[in-house]
Amino acid sequence: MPGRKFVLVALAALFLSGCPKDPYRTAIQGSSDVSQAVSSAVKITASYYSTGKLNDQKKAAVAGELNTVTDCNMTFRKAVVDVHNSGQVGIAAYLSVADSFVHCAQISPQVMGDPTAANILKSVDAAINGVSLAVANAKGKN
Amino acid sequence: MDPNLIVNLALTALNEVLSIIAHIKAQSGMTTEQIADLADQQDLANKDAIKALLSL
Repeated sequence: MPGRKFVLVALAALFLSGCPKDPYRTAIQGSSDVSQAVSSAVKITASYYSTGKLNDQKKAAVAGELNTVTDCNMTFRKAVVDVHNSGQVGIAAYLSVADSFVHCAQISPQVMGDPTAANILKSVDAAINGVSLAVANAKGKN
Repeated sequence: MDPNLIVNLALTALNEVLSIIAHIKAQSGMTTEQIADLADQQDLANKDAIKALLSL
């Protein structure tokens, strides 16, 4: 669907925007990008449901994934702030937290196996995986 | 599928692209703490929106 391509292109621009920054800002920006992707996914899910492209069961499955991602993201952001407040400036500490987030927020392969659900969740999945990648490429000492 | 539904879905996707672009632009002028605060608010709004989605 063309709309999904637009969203993916916009997300790619999101991750490629700006030059590498410090790992604290990069991690917080990545978290904020995930929040934005979830917000978009909720609206697209509602739109799919209202047009009959998604049934009750699939809607619930997608909503459950988005809820888990949001919980993991809130925990991730708090951990990032804690690392920052502890005075750590290197990438390593942030990368460890980012990897934990990616693991926590990983979208179920079973849900991604459904093409309609996958259409909705791909941009969220890209944003989640982009967090680790962005932190790994941030400026800072290891 | 009904062409009107296709248009509705395309408009929803377009709106989301515009909101992502606005999100990128907004972040560039913010401090890290401001971005974190914004994300906190967005996550709380997302939790409410997910609840509403489940009740549809």
